Amino acid sequence: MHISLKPELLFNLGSFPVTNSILTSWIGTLLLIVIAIVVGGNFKRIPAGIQHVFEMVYEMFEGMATEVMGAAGKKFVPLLATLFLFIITSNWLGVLPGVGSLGIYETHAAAPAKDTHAAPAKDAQAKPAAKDAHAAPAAKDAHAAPAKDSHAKDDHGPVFVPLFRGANADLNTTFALAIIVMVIIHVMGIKSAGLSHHLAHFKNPLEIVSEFSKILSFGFRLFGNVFAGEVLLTAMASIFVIITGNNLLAYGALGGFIVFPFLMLEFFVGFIQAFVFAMLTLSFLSLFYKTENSEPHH
Amino acid sequence: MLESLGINPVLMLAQAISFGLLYYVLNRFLFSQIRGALEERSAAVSKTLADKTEIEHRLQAFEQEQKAAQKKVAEEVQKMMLDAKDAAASTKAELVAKAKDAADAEFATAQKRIEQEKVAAEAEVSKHAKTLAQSIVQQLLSEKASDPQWQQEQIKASLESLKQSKS
Repeated sequence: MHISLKPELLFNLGSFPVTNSILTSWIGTLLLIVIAIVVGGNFKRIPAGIQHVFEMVYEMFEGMATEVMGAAGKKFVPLLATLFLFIITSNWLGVLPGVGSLGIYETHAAAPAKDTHAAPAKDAQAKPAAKDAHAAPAAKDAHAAPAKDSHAKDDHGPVFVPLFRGANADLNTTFALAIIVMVIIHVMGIKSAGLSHHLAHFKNPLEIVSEFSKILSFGFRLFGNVFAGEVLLTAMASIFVIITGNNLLAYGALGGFIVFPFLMLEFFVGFIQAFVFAMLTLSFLSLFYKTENSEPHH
Repeated sequence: MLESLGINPVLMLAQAISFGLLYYVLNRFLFSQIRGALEERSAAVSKTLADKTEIEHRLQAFEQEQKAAQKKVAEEVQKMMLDAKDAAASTKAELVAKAKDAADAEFATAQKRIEQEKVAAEAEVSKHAKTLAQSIVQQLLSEKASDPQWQQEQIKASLESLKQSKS
């Protein structure tokens, strides 16, 4: 069982390193953009289908934003909804079969292997791809895999590189979001209350530390939850492989029962984390954003 | 440490840019429409609610008006019925009176005519009786006159009465 804390490099686009997590996040972003354009292009007065979902999300955040910040909260709804939609899409894409299990074997020199394999059993095996003929031998010596893997780098042997990785199982994504959010919060704070008024929040140097800790907590919370979910799924699948050994029948019959509840759990966690991220953004915004009729809270 | 966590400023920037792009597209193509639709919908709903109260008010007013009108109509009908009753009663009395008058008049004329006829009949009868008496007297006279004894007696009687009257 091989678990990498950082995303794996797939290839370089010029000098830009394309990792598996950024590939997944691009797919998620593209998906959302296409849906947004399609739904926006066929926008109906009486909503139907997926338009309902977007309206529901938008209305949910509009309701909460106006509750917390009054009418001024309305202008932050697009940000909150975008955060929520981006994070939930990335999280749910990360749970789909194939993410983390479809990949390529690379030698340590990072030259892509010529043949693309379906998932070897040692990486999130509950996925259909694992039934591939290539998967069986891998499943057979699954228990030996961790040892083999740990040697792999040293031996310059082939290393399995997943093609996809949950976008939020990458600190780059979560910290990018955290920094964007904190920048927006402070820019809006300065815009609404004026620079001197805004800086008055930070008379105590600890407050500045607290702002940086918010970035860390934002970034690590989301990363930790999503990454832990992937580890959990991989671990459950590995346990399952150890139990069934190379018995393909048992493998097929039991696979769903063991991994399925955890998949559902991850869908739930994916939703909760997206929601929490947007809600925290809203509550931090309300700390610094000065509305006409209310002093910002301290 | 950053390297071991996989943190790479270039990747972070790339993610930030792609998030910014996503924000722009969603806001431009989807959220603006949703915002418009939600505002339009809430405006429509509040208008509908306002219309509803307006309609309810109107309905209430209309119902009251109708009730009042019904009451008025009922009152008028009752009044008309009473009037009609009165009128009928007075007409009846009038008719009865008229009929009585007419009957009385008829009766009076009838009586009068009876009276007249009676008088006429009496006159006729007396006339007839006179003629009859005359004719009887003539007959008797003619019968007696032809009797000399009766003539003498009569003359004697007349002379007697003359004598008596002279004395």
